[in-house]
Amino acid sequence: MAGGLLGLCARRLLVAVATRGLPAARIRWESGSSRAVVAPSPVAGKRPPEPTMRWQEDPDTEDENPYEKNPDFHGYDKDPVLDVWNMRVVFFFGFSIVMVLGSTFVAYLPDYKFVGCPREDGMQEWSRREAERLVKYREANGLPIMESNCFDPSKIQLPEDED
Amino acid sequence: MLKIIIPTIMLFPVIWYSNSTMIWINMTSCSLMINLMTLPLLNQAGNNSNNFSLTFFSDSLSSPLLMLTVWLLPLMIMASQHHLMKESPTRKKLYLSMLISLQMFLIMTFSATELILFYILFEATLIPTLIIITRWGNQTERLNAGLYFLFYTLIGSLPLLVALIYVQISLGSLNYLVMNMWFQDMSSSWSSNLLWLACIMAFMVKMPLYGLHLWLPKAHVEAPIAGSMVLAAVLLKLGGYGMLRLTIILNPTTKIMAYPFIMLCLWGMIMTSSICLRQTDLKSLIAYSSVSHMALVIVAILMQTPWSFMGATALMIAHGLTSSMLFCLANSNYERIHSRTMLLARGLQAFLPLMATWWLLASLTNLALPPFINLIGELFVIMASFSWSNVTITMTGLNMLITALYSLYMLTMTQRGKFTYHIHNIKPSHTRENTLMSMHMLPLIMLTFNPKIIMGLTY
Amino acid sequence: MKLPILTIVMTTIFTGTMLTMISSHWLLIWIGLEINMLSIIPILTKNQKPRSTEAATKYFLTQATASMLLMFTIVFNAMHSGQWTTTNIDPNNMIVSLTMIIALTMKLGMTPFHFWVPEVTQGVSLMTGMLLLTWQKLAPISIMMQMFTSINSIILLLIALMSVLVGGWGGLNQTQLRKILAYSSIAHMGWMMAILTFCPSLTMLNLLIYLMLTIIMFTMLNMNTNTTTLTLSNLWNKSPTITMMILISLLSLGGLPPLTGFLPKWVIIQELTKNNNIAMATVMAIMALLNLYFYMRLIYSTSLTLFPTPNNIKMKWQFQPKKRSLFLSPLIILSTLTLPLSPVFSTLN
Repeated sequence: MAGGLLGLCARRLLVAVATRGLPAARIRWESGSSRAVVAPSPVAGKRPPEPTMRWQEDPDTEDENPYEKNPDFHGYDKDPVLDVWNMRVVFFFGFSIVMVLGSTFVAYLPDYKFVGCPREDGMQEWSRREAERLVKYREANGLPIMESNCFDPSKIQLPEDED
Repeated sequence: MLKIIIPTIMLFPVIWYSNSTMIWINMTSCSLMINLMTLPLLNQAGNNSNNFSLTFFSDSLSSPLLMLTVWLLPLMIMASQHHLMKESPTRKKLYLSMLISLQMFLIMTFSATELILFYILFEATLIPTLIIITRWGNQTERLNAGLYFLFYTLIGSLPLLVALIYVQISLGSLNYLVMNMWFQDMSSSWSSNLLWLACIMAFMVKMPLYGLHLWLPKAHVEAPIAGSMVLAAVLLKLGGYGMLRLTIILNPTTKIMAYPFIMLCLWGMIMTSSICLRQTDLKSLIAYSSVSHMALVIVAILMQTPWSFMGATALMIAHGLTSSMLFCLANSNYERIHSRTMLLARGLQAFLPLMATWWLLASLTNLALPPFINLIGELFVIMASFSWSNVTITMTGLNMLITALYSLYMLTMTQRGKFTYHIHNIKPSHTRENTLMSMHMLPLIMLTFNPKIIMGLTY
Repeated sequence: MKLPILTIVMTTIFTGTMLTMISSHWLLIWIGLEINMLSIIPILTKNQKPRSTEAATKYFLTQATASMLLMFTIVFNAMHSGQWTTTNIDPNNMIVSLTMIIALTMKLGMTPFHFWVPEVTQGVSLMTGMLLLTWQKLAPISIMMQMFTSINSIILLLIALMSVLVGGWGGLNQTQLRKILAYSSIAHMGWMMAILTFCPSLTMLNLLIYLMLTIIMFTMLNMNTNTTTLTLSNLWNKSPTITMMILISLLSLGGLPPLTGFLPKWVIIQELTKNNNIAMATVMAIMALLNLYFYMRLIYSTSLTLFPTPNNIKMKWQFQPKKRSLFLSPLIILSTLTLPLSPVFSTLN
């Protein structure tokens, strides 16, 4: 439904452009170029402006084809040598070094953070490993896997009651 | 932190002493190498922050944002290469210096411990951005856009300065590390409501909140490509970052004051994504889509739950990469068609098939397709807001639908359909552009496999 | 003006100010102000044009009025307290404290009495304007700082607030650079006076930074004799580096954070907030944005747009004599990059 509506809108717009195709294409240059907010130059007030005067900021409107000079153009630079080298540098540093080394580093980061409780400290994988070791030890020695005492009460040295 | 900041500062001599032919090569290689330096920041083993000094620290909230900032510099440089090809070497160097100073300020902003230092650097990012927008933008409307950008942000943030000084005088410190220990609640009075507003408004303007967002589409449309990229990817996130940090001390007041803002965001994200549906201007569409995504982040931060914080952080990073990529794509169209109007760039799929692939991938990440981190972020936010109030699902659900619609609209308008005759002699997509897109896309994909590093403080 | 005469006149100007600064007797202070005021008149009329004569007349009339008011205050105070020293002004004596504030703010060109500042500055040459907006502020401010304990602070705050507002508001409509700088001076005077009764050392800090910024602004404008926004917009053909420096120093003058101009604003807001004057601090900070707005317009026309120019202007840089300025580069660095040194200034309190 929505797609159909969208298509309809788009088609109507397309028709509008097709009927007025050329003006629409031309308008962008006019709007893109000088709608200057400048006060007129002091010279221009007195005599007609020189023909060389132009809006400095406009990018050149005509596109030159870079492939004429350099069929192997990569988009980096006009100079073919620099173009290739720039590409190589980006590929080497961007992909071979940062992407590969970076993702390896991140993948092998030590325990990032504890999942779940936000107030707990990190070391999730470590605690899991320790727990597994403990379970194995207890199973091997025939001890109960869980006890209500975290530590053996006989081994805890309490201070003497002095008063 | 200095091991990132000093190389960034040393990029200034690198460009100014470079041979003018070697500017790009030197800059891209050096700025990419700085990325390696930021990787150890991700090693956030404990729940505490890494305190490098009394001035700088990083924790699991700021380190992904720092990574994003540093990763974006080489991308911006690559994206501007065509745009600056005809400029003189001095101007190229000046432009790159602005980008570098922006990165320097951003790194310090994200890692500052002291809130006043954070504020100063937050404002300092305005100057290079302003110069980039108004000096290298393409049309005269950019002057207006620059003024909007500057004054919206300043009017929002001057009360923040006063509020911060007030907080410093009453609490004695503005250090995050100390503020974490501060558990005393704010009193429920009008003045603490005002204090809350002063503290949050600056970031609401920066994010931007719907209603305070008018500067954003203007700035995005008028800025040159690097300006759009950094604005969408990092500068908006300053707002989210600041809010996440400051809400620590604004404790119970946020609960009361958040309601109108959450409403405004929920409403605004539907409004802005509906605005996207009727945009003809490609960059403006992407800018409004940023506003709608950032509204989700604001909602998440204001709800103040661990889940929503995770969603907000993930969404910020995901949106940073996605919107930056969309702007790059829009710019690659602009460099060929010389127009941002979508009608004039139809049917590009037939001419630029690889670029069409990137368009497809970028649209899919933008609409939060399942495996991507965008979905993780949005899903967390939507779930958190659903448990906050069940009614919000209508708004958030509708927004996801409209997001899908306008992403589809953007994709079909640019890629499908019959091409116009004036794009017959269009240039093929360069290696540079494809590299650029893949350098946006690969981190997105890789983060999808390992999203826990961008989940922020509450993960 | 011939060199010996110039030397004598300048020496007299400096002597007058020095006399005011170092004396603690009201009569000597008054004499210093008069010497200073009378000797600057020849400097104002250095270019013998009708505009500068008009400016000199306006300056003379307002300053003479202010001096007479000051004299009246001194005599009145002496009559009541029998004292001629500066510190002995009775703050409860309404007439004395009011007329004293009026006289001094008129000398400084603060708001209800500010109308002469843009007019006079516009009438004189750039370097004279610089003298007017920098050196001439020293003597009245030094008096204010000596007797700040006995100033009626509410009235002074009101005047300060109005000055900040008018300094921002008035400049919005200007294209003349000297007028813009005059309005910026009014606004800065407002900031200085706002903090005077709370912490006079911050007034001193603000004054120092204001002096540096105004001096470099005038020096840079003087290098190419720019007096309007229009000539500024052609500056990029002549000295591109200066355009960049004007950008930075104007932003600093507007008080944008990483630059030095933010420092006085920051410490003043801090001090006002400390004294529970939060509303005033916020309002002043917001009103300073008005200043920033017209600085932004200057920045736009100077450095952020390249205006269309006829080709002969592009050749102009070869033919124009370069005016040298000795201390420009250290002053630019000082006036833009000293914010990281702000802990040093915290010892001022």
